[in-house]
Formats: sequence, C-alpha cells, structure tokens
Amino acid sequence: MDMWQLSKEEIRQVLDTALTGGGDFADLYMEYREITGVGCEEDRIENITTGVDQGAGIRVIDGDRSLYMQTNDLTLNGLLEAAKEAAKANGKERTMVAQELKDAKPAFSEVKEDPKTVPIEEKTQVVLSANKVAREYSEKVLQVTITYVDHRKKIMIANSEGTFSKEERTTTRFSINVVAKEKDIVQTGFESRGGITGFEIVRENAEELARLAAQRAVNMLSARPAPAGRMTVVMSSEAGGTMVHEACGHGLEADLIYHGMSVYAGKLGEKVASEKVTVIDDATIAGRYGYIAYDDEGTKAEKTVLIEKGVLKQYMSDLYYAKKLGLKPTGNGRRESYAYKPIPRMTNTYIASGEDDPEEIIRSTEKGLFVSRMGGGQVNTTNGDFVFDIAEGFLIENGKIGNLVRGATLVGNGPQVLKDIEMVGRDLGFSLGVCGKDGQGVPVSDAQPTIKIKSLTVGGLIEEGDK
Amino acid sequence: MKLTELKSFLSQASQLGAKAEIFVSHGQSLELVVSNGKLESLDKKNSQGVGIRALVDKQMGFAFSTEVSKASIEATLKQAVANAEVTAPDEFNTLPEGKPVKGEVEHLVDIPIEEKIQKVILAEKVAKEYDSRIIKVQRSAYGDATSEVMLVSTEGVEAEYKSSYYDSYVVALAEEDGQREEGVSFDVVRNYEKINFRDLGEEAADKAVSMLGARPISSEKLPLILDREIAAQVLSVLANVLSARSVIKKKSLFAEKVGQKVASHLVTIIDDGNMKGGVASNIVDDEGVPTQRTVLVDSGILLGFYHNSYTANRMGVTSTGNGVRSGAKSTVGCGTTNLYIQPGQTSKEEMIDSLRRGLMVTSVMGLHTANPISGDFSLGAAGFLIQEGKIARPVRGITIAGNLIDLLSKVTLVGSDLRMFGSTGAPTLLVDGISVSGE
Repeated sequence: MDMWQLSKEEIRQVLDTALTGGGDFADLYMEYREITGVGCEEDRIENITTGVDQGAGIRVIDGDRSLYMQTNDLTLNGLLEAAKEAAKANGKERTMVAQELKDAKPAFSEVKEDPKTVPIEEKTQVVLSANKVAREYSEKVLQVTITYVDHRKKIMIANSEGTFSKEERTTTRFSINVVAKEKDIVQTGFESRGGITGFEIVRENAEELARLAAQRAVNMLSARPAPAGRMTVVMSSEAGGTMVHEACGHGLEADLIYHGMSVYAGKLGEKVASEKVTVIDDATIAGRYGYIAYDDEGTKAEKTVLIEKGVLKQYMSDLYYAKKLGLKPTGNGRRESYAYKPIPRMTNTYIASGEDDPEEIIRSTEKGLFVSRMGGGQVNTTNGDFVFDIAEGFLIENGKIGNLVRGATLVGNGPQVLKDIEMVGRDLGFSLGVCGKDGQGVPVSDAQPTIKIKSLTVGGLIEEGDK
Repeated sequence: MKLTELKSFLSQASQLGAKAEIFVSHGQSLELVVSNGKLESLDKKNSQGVGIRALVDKQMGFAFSTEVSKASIEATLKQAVANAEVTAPDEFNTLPEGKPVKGEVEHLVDIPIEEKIQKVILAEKVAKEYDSRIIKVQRSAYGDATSEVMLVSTEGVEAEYKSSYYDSYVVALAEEDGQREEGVSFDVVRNYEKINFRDLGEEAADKAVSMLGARPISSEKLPLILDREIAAQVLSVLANVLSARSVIKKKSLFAEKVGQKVASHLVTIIDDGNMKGGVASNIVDDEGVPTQRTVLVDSGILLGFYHNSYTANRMGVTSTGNGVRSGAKSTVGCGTTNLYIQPGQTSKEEMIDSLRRGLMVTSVMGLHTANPISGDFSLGAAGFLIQEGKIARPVRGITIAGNLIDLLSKVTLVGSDLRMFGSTGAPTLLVDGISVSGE
C-alpha cells in the first residue's frame, strides 16, 4: 500500500479523530521502509536479508502530557483506529480541531547510484572483494565480518496545526570488523562509511576501508597497554567526534535540560567553554550520516550554533520541549522509527575549526597521549562525567608521536574539558555512528579539528612494579 | 490469522523447492511515565510481523514484513527463497524438526491503567520523600508487554506461545553543595505482583544521595567489589565468549578450552531457559527447540557452549535451545536465555569487612566499548572507597581496566545475594587487583 496515496483531507481526519479526546496538539508520523542487508563472514556471503517495515505513530499532546499510539496498519481504517485509541487514552472533551494541511512536495535525497538499481549479485561482489583485501592483508587476520545495509525510507509527517511534509531518504552503509591474532593476543579493527548516499559510497570506499580495518587490527597486536593516570591529550581530527558528542552534545538536548538532568541547564548566555571553542549542530550537511531535510516532526532542519566562542547560545530542541522551555524549535526532534515518539537528538555535531596548525599542536606537547581514532562513548549528563574509547592511540614524547598503545577509555567531565581545550586546529574530520538514547538509535555524525586538552584521565593499566 | 492457516503457506514453499519456517508475532506494549504526581506520557504499541527462513538445498535466506496478510506472507516467502539463492551454500544449514506445542508463560493479568499509574506515582513519592537532598524524580516509569508467537515449519515445528513481562524504573536526582548526582533503579519481571514500586523508589533515591560528594581517587591497583548489578552487566558481555557462534567464528578465547579451568573455582555460570519466573523462560526457543538448563562453567571448569540448531549441527552436538530472535524482523541468532552466576556463601558486608583498602563499583560507563573478543575492558566507574573494612566515601571520575576473562580467574569471593536484572543475573563478586586510574 502506498501511503502517499492518502489525501490531505483523510490525514486531517485522522488528526482530528485523535483530538476528540481532548488535547492541544496531535501529530502523525508514517513510515515505509525497504531494507536490503548483506552479511559476509567466514570468507563467504553468509546471509541476505530483505524486508519491508512500515508503521505509524499518532501522538496527542495535552498540556504537560503526551499520548502515543503505534500501529503497523497504514490503511485509513488502521490509522483511524489508532487515533481513536489515543483519544480514548486521554479521555477528555474535545477542545481543538485539526487545521487544514498545507501542501507538501516530497523532498528527495539526491543520490548518485540508487542502491535499488544495483543487482544483489553486484552488492555481494563488492562485499566479497573488500573481504578479500582484508584477508590478504596479513596472515594474522583471523576473521573478517562485513555488514552492508541499504534503506529506502518514505516518511510522511502531519500535525493538527497544518504542518505537512513528505520525504524520501536513501541510506547506504558499509562496515567491516577485522579480528587479528598473534599468539595469545587478539585485537580488532573497525571501519565504517555511510550516509544519505547511494551505492557509490560503498563502491568507492569498500576496499580502502577493508585495508584500514585490517591494518589497525594487525598493528594493535604489537601495541603496548595504555598508561594510567591524568595527562595531556591531543585528539587528531582523524579521530572522529565522539568526545564533543559526549562531553557537551547530549547535555545540550532540551529534554535533559528541562528535566534538570544536564550540567548545562540554566546557562544560556554564560561562558561554558574556552573561547577557542565553537560547537555546531548542522543537519543540513548533504550526504553526512546525520543529514535530514526535515526532522521527524516536520520542522525544517537547520544549522544551530550551540556554543559560540565559549558562550552557550542554544539548546537542541523538538516541538514538545521547545514549548515547555519557551525556546524556538531547532529541528532536532528525531526518532528511530514509527515505533517511538520524537525526542531531542543530535544530527551532525562538531567543534568548528580553529586557527592552530595541527602539527604545531603535537609539537607543543611535551608528554601526553595522541588519540588517532576514537570508538564509542557514554555520558552521565547529570554530573557531566563522560567516557570514550580509544580505538587507536600513541604516546607523545618531547613533541613527537611515539609508541602505539591500546585498550583504554578516557574519562573526563564535560564542562571541565570544554574549559581545558587549549588549542584548536584548522582541520576538521568526521566520523559516523548510531547514537542510542532512551532505547532509540538514530544515525549521527560527529566531527572535530585536532585539539589539545590540558588534562584527562586515561584508563590504562598499572604495570606490576609501578607506583 | 490461525496456525492452520499459517501452515497452508508451507506447501507453497515446497512447490518453490524450499524448506521453510514461518515466524509470526503479534505484540502489545504499554509504557507510562509520571512526573510530579501526574501522568506525563503514555505510549502504546500494537506491533506485528512475519519473518521467514527458506532453505534451498544448503542455502539459507531470510525475509520479513511488518504487514501480516496472505499477500505479504506469500511475497515474503518468495523473497526469502530468492535471498537463499544468493547466499553461500553451507552443509550445516538446517531447520530443526519439531512437533506441535502450545504454551503460555505468566499471562498478562488485566490491571486497569489507573492502578498502574498510581503505583508509579507511589514510586516517585517514595523517592522524593526519602531524603531532603532529593530535589527531583526525573522519571518514574512502568511498562508491560505481551507477545503471541506462531511458528511453523516444513520440518514439523508447530509452536504457539504467549508471554508477557512487566518493568519499572525510577531515576532520582540528589543535590548538595552544587553537585548533582542521579540514582537509577529498575526491575523486569514475569509477574506484576513481583514489582515492588516502593523499593524501587527507595533504591533510586538511596543511590543518588549516597553518591553526593563523590570525587576521584589516585591511580592504583585495588581489589574490587563488583555490585551484583555490575557483575550482571559484566556477565552479559562475557556471554559472547560462551556462545557456540563465537567459537565457530573464531571470536571466542574459550574455543579450545572445554574441560579446562577458565575461572576461579568459585564461579559457576548457568543458562536456564526453564528458570521459574525467568524473564526469558519459554517452552521452546525461537526455532521451536525445547529450552533447557545448561551449565556452561562449573566451579571454574568450562563444560561447553550454548547452541542454536545451526551451531549444534556444525559442532556435532544437540541444540541447547538458544536459538533466539529479537522479533520477526530478525533471523535466528545464538543468544542466552536466563543467564546467571550461581550465588556463593559470602554476604556483601563480609566482603567489605575483609578489605583494608578497596573499591566497591556500583556503576560503570562505556561497557559497550569493552571488547567481547579480546575481553579487554577499560570503563568509566563510580562507587565507594573502602578503607579498613568500612565504606569511606563515594568515588567518581575514575576508570577500571583489565581483561574480563582474567577477571573471572581473579574472583576471590562470591556473594549470596543473586539478583536477576532482566534476563541476566549475578551475586556481588570480590575480585583481586584491578587497575584503577584516577588522579
């Protein structure tokens, strides 16, 4: 069934039905998604998965409360049933009617090579070639796991105030995990690339990513354990942006601000970071993993300056929390799928480039840790403590990059770290990931220039005999 | 749709030259969140889906749809067969044989929503009134879910089962001298009556208040008391090395160690798909194989791994009933049911008492970054410094690092206080010398 066949009046009727039990606002989110997945392991194509995932969510907001009904039935009847259930759950008298919907032109994400036009045999071929590159990199490579996924998603959003939007998003993603072994030591290397792009991103990058993942896994075998304790940390622009995501990104989401769960609550207009630090969330960067034309509430996505030269300017918000906090919605209302109501989320979040020479940043550091690749992270937004994993790092000695080290988490406190950023490079590097919050995963990208942080705690090992 | 109707599609698979298995689920769930004594949100989901595995010669394909109708099942079946034809043949691919079974696990009792809301409000109230330093209860929530599954295959599987669970959690915020800390409590159970909302409120508030004043300690090697919640989280990562799938994929450091000592003699690890009241208990697994109790590690000795029908076939053993799906949208994996470390004899107080200097870990951050293949971990941690057999002060902003497998060998005491956190459980554990990185 094609949901775009539903007429504006039919959709308005669904929203209006949802308001029969009271409430000041109702919205409808519909999604139809086709998925193709290829899994390669043990040197062969192990699985092919295809699927159709469709559903809708109807939300009623009544003052301070929200009611959400999810269904997999996208027929007009199915939607009306869900709307009735939402109205029944609120259980009051009608106070509002749904406005006539504005016209909506579908927004398409332009991709070079639509994955739908690529035969499955060709997708498996590209995956197998990458697998071969990784396996042939070294005899130490023990296992190669490749996951390829493409999604074609149609989204329709409408609300009782007349907002109406249609969007079609094509997402392609390739990721590779390599396991290498030498004697008793096992290490892994991981690389991924993807975004609102077509198959070209895989065709052009798969073999290079395979080589990089294999190289990292093999190199890590001879790495020494990371040291333990506080030290100066230089983070390469190549390292990705997990740090900014955890150290301040989450804490600037409006729901956490509203619930008093953020160290950044009540600090708009205040200096929260070194003046070298400007932090931006920009959903409009074409092709990036966190790109959206509209957010999942139909608000036009935008570039939002969160921190400007150290001063806190804005929070990221959806419609619900923008209203509660008296802020302007910033187009950050996002959801994993129709199964969830939208909450404030990041898109493409980064520390803007500064003026320092990346080489000079390393040279200026007498002793410390150079992080060349970050892994995942986590934050306790209430007290600001965060961690992120170093997937690849080196010691810095006398301004020079020294030995490779492995296996460490860095721990810091968000507001403190932002103040401790001493140098900001003129470069910028992105990484992508799926960010998890309240059980919902959404695609994001994060970035930063090469930066120097005065002091962070490195969670390495204390060798026997150390003090 | 009835089971008999679902079976009728199997003949279509045979006509396409395929063996097939059709999994259909229908689920309902509810989540309630209260704030300041009032309902803040109510989310209800009605979900359905069909997932089909098709085996053509020795090639396996999978397809799914969230539309459950005659037309969509037929289309999904054809797609699964087409997908099979592109995958590599594997002589161990199999669809298990089965027979008709029907089961119901702790069916959902009918409780009015209003009563549930009142219980969540109670939890919030208890947390708020626990201590004057509790400034807010960020969230007090309740959820329940029921799912009905029908599973049929050309190999004789005909299973119908219904199950439900209930969960609740509380997040409390404490503040003192400008420092804010949060405390989280949660429970997931099979039986509504088992949720103690009052206890959850108290636990969250206590956790928040007790962390006030926390600060780092210096970097040193210390014995750790892992709170049972943390021990259970660690076990959920360790579960990977006990999976037959990991062994086959050369991703388990235990691969060659059956019959050998892999942990302290105090450690026994069990996966029990029949555990009474267990959140993951069921009559059969998600490919129709009867569930069972499997001792994986017995007094430190590795006895074996948990299996689904594929891993069992490949390793020449029988499935342990660990064929697990995360819903109709995913194919069968090899996963744990109710996994736990058997309790020992020691109380938590005795463990604290035994330490001259140590660290009790009550929360960790970044567990998803621990490497399940190498076992290496480096985690953000918070908890309490122990000095001279007493809790001295709260600690945060530090890391603990080491290797999870190594950690199992370093267990020197096992607590008597086993608690299940959802489908994974553990007692409090005392482990020897772990690197703590702080100031």
